[in-house]
Amino acid sequence: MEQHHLVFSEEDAALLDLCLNRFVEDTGVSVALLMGRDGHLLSKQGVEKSLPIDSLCALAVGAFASSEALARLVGEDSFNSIYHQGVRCNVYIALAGEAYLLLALFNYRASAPLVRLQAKVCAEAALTVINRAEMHAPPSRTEETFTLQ
Amino acid sequence: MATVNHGTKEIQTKLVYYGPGMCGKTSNLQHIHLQLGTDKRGEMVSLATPGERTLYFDFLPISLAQIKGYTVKFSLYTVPGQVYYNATRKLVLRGADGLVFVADSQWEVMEENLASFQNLEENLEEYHTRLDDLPCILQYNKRDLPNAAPVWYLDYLLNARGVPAFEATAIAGTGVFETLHALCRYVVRDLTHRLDSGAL
Repeated sequence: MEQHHLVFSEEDAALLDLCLNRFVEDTGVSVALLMGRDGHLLSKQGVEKSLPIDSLCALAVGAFASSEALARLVGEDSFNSIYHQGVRCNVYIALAGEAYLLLALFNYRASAPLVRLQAKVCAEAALTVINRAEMHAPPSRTEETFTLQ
Repeated sequence: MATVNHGTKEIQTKLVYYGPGMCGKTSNLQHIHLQLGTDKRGEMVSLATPGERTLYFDFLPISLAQIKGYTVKFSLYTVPGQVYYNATRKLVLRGADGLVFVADSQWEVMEENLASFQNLEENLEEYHTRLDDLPCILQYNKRDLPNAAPVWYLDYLLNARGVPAFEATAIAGTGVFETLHALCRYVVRDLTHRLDSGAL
């Protein structure tokens, strides 16, 4: 499994935001997050300030990896999504390509089947942008120094 | 590996604390969480057993550095040290930009230190990565204990590469930030080099 750095231009970042924004608008989910399987956030939409995004990403990646191991135990290659149903909030996490995850938080106002359907559409659109970013030329030079705060 | 977002002006990196069970990986993160202001860190997530052994991982997001107007976010993870949690260790290593190998200085656990170090190299191979390719430093923890082996012996055992090694007593906070700052600098230098060489 090769690993590589990922660089998004301002344009690509805006396009990813647009994909997720459309997903939020079309489905009524309250939060949509796109992340790498290493836990890094790529894009977020509908997020309240108090939401611990970094922790959500780390735990979503862990949960998905567990479900993947579970899938192999029962003879599946992978489960392409997981769904946690709560009283006030539901969490849906879907695989986007092989290396990315789309997470949606939603309540009773959003329809779970619609979320599943549109998540697939959103993941495909986001993957197009990511693939483009992966082929981009490197950005401009940076300064050698940095400051530890 | 690192994610650079020119839209949000953020660079996200992942640092992993690796080492045998009970060597003090979680203590490192707990001290960092305790000492850093809430403006520089998020909440710490610990997935532990009722006996406070790490079951899955500990996670602490911090933000300590800036490069040319870009905020560098470091996601700190620990791995579960116990031998039978290897699948989880592999998962946590995915996408790591830098590593701290935390060694327990006590004479009695040298074999565990060695086994864990070897396990780290094997698990990195699964990602087609070698220790030489990643910023990696050592922390010799539990230096306050009377049965701690001398530093030259730990160097001999674990530091064939001659990477920076720090003495620590993580439970008291000694050496924790020295280790963290050294790794952050190392990772940022590595990223800067990759950016400048066109690898990013």
